Amino acid sequence: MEQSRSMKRLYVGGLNHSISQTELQQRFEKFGDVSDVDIVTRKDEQGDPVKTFGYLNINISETELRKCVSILNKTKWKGGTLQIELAKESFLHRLAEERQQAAEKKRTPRVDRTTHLVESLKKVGVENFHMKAAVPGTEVPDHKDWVVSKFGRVLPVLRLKTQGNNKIVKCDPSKHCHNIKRLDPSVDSENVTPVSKLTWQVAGGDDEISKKRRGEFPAYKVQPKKKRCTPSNGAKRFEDSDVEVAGSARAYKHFEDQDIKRGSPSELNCYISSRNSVSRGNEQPSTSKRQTAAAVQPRQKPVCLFDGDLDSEDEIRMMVAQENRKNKVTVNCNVEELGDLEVVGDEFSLKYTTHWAHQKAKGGGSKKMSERKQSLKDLEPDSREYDSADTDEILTFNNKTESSLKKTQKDPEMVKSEGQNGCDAGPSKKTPTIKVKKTECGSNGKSVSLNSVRESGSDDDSDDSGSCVDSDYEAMMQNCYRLELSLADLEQLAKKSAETSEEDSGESSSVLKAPQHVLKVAKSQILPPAKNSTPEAILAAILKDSSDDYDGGKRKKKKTAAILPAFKGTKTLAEPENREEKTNSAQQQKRKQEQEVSKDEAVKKQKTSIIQEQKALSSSSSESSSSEEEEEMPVSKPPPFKGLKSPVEPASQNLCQEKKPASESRSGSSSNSSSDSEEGSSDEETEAQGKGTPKIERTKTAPAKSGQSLESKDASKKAWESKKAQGVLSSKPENVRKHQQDNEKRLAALQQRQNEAEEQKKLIQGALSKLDTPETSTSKHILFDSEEESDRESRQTDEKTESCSEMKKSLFEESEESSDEDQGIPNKAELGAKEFKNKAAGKLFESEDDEDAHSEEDGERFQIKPQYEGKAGKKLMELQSRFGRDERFRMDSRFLESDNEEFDNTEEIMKPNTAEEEELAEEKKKNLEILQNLLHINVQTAEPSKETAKKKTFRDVTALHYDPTREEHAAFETKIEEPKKESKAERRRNREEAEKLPEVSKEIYYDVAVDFKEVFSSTKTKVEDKAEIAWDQEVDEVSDMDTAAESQAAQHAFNFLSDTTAENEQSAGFKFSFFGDDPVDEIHEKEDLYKIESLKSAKITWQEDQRFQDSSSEEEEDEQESGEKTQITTTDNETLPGKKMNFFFFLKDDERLKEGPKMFCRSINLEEERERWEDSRSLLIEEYRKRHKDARRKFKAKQRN
Amino acid sequence: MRPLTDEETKTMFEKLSKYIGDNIKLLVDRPDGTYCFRLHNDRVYYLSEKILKLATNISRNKLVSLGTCFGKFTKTLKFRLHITALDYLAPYAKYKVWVKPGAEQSYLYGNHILKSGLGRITENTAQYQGVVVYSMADVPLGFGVAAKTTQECRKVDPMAIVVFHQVDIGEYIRSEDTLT
Repeated sequence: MEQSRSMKRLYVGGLNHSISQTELQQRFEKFGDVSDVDIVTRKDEQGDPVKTFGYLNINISETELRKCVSILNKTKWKGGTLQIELAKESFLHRLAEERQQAAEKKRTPRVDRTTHLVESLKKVGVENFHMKAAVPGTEVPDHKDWVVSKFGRVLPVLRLKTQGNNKIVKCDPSKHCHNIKRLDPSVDSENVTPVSKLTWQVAGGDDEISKKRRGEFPAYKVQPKKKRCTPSNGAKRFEDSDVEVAGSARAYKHFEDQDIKRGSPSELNCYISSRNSVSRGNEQPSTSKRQTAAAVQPRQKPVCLFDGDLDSEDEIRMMVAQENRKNKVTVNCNVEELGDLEVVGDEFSLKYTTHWAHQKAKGGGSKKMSERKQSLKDLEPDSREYDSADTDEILTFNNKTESSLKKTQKDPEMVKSEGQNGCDAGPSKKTPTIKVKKTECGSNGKSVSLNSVRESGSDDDSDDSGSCVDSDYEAMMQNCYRLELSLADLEQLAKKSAETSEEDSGESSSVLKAPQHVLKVAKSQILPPAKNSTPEAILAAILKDSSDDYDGGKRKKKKTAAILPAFKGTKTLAEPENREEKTNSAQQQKRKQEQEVSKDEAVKKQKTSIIQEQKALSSSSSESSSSEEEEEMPVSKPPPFKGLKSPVEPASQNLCQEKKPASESRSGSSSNSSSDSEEGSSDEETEAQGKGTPKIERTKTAPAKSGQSLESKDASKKAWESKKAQGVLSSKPENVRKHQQDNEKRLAALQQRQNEAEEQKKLIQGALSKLDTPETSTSKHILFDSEEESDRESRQTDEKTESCSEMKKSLFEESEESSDEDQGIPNKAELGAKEFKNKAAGKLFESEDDEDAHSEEDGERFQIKPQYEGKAGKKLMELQSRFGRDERFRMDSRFLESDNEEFDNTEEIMKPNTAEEEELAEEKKKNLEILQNLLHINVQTAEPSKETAKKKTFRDVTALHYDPTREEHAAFETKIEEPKKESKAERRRNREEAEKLPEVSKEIYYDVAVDFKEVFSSTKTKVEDKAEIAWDQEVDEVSDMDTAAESQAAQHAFNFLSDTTAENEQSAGFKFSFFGDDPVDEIHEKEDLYKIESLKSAKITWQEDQRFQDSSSEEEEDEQESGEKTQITTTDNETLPGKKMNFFFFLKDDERLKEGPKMFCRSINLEEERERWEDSRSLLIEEYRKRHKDARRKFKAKQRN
Repeated sequence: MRPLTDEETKTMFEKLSKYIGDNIKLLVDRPDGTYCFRLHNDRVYYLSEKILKLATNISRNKLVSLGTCFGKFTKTLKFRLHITALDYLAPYAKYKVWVKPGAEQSYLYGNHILKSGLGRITENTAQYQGVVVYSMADVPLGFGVAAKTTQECRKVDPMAIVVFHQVDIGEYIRSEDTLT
């Protein structure tokens, strides 16, 4: 008995839920030792016990157990039928046992399964997994699933679960040598490691088997049936994941070819990451080529499971590696073939554009763009590709260059750019891109950063983030004129603080540094030593100039003539003569930098000029100018910093003056070289340029021509002075004294200038009269004072700026205004202008070489001149053609003015046509209207050309003065006082009106013959009257008195006119009776009304405006009067005496007699009135409550505070 | 030849706006001259003022075509685009779809574009949005209607139609006689 006792676990079901563990234990204790009693109670949702059962461990023998079961099973206990069964061991118990067993096992020496296997195999005659003289496929006796494989090894038959589907593949090593392939379909025969790469050699001949042994398998044909079980969904997966998420189309614009696309690491990352995200997590990432191999990994695991043997494992590993590599390729191929769906942004611009819309195609035909294009029209064709209004292109291009990918296929542009690079442009290729980037940064602030964000977003595998960022970006881009690089951007650049400009300068200079140094050497060779003055002389001249401003004309002339070398001189002299100049080292450095830049440019220009010579004149659209522009863009960056600095510089005139000619010459040179780029600058700049240009030309020609020296000298002096004055004025607003002084100077200069202009006109007239035959460039060196030219130049720019967008225009006007206001206030626009000036002045040293100038002019010659556009332009062109390219006789709009009459005539002639045109215009308008309705957008019709022409009419801002005598200039006056006065007057008038109102009410009162009642009542219903008065408690004593007097008077009147008023009396009497019929009702109502009126007045007192209060109170009185006719206010009482007088003279058809009775009638039905009142009442109550609440809240808030 | 009525203009603009959105105004209000729409034989022609003037010299029944045909009004007064309008609409297209070289031919034969043939698509393309179909070399091929949104295009299986064919340049050959 004792022996057979063992621990059993019993299940006891059908317990009552009230049974406790101890009870259960006691119940079973008689059969054995009970321990670990467990009662489980199942409960339903309400918590009521549904089922109760228990478990208990009992140490019991078999017989006892049987006895126990037979006794207790199916017996009733406390209302439940017991059910006893043997249960499984307790989980905890089992766990403990298992642990114990494991511990025991550990203690006992472990028998290796493999050794056991080997031993058992040995028994059967398998030595080292080789069975002697066994044909492949022989099963190893006593060992299930062990067969002799193809190569004589004894291997197990494997049952492997394939990927994706749950099929189990049986891999019999004796039957297939392509088991790897069976598991991994992507493994092709070509993927197999060639024999030469194997680490081990297989001896053998050329026969099939030995070939196979070497691993040269014939192409494997997948059996159709088994193909199903291969992981075919892998391909599908790729399809899904291969959708390329190019968050930004622009960034990948050039990545048309898949090759290139693969070349870009970011893109590849994109691929891979997306794939990673999709592919399941059972991959086994290889450490080295994690990224690229990750996609291919999933299928290798089963492959590796094939064999535990070392040799074969090696083999397989190698194969796997090979597969990896090959697979990568195939996968990429797959990518190309299947799912490379690219999603591009809205601004994806096409390579191909249709013929007609070439100009506007890219930016969706935005006018801004075309404008910009116009501004860049003079660029050479291939450089246009960079600057062609497509910043994206450039950005992407930049990206490409930055990433410096090894692209097997370069897109044509790349090649082209390289070609350009090779030829001469050197840094110029890179510079435009940088510049564009910068401007974009300026124009829309965040765009660049956003760009980067966008790119990073596309690097991420998350499509959504990329696209959303991109959409943000687009939305933002829609708001800003990102394609435009002219004024708008420059303006914003100008508005940027000095630091940014500093950055810019740093950037650009850094960009240009390397080439500069290279070119410096060249420059030293090229620069002709033809400078006619030594540095010392120049310095002396400069110093002298600073001492005498006005009369130093000749010296100035000399100085300006020497400007070209001057800078070299100053540079060389800068260090030894520091004390004289008092410039800080930073400035010197900057200057040096500029010099370098200029040198660089000069050299380039020479080159370009050479190139130009080579090129056919007609075909080349001024290569030199374009290249210049390219250079200019970055080069022009450093100066702004200087320009900003100069105002800060505390008034060392020496320095200032010395600097100014420099800037002048700079601006002059720049204006000479590329007028188109100047249009970005504001008027002031153009002014400066205008002044600068003559000088440059003079400097060019001065050595040769001394004949016109006097005139040019004057001009130069004057221009210089005015320039200086402006500069000083704008730069030092705080210095009032200086300001005044400068103002004087400026005025003097302007006067002088005007005189000169007149002189010049005369000269030109004379020259024109003499000149009949077209003269070509021979006369290039003859130079009058080029004031006219400067005018023209500024005019040109004016026209351009005016034709520019509104944004530009605003700037323009701003600057204009500021210039009108004596340039005393250095507002932002002016600062910007200054910056522009300096930017444009980046060319400063270009003018050093005559050759440069030549090339410049050549460049200019081929620029499309906007003044020659249009009909008027054509005319002008014709005019100009008479004089060839003579600089002196450039035609401008002034020459056209004389033709205006003609022009008008032609217009008149064309009138018949205009009817048709008008029709068309109307149609167009209608169309646009429809469009507007359709799209709910603001479709702006382009202003008629006439208007634009009007707008284009020239306004010489430089000559613009505020002249109080002229009426037009009243627009410049600031009118602050007048509107105020007006408003005051208005207010007064308003007040008067408000005050008048009571008077009107008085009159009404006058008409309202209140006393009629009394009159009648005095005769008949005196008691009623009195009662009435009693009801109206507002009525004071005085009014009572009055009414009494009135009634008396009325009585008199009645006596007087008793016969006539008989009817009235009757009616009145009737009315009174009526009045008396329901007096209580009415009066109640009226009292209520009155109360509410008072409430209203209370409401109004909260209002702050006093006069409103007044008027409203008066109005209220009126209302009260109208509401309650019998009420007499105190204010009205004052007028009563006058009325009393009238009472004595009742005429026959007195108004009062007619109107009086009406007063006693209700104008509206009583029911209506009641309804209205009830309606209004609820509203009023609500209103009142609200107010009350508000007031209380306010009060509380106040208290809290 | 007559100008379009308001109703016609509206219908046509509605159609055009599906492809080029508010860029219609660039067609109507062109900086390089006055252009207008004219109706002739139920067809809408887009022509410059110059041509308009010239065309007035030709009697109505003799006039075959003038300017560029943008499309025609059906008998039910719907507007149907013609392939000839492509040159004018393609530069302004808001939503574009690029067809892979392999699928180009299929498209040009008048078939819809399947996902497998879709090379590139403008993001945020809505369903049933009018699109201009380009080849991968950015040559406009025709018009279509997006059958799926861009997001959906990523998910659908390769044989799903993503762009419905409307008009393609194959029609220059296929319906040469009706294209005027």
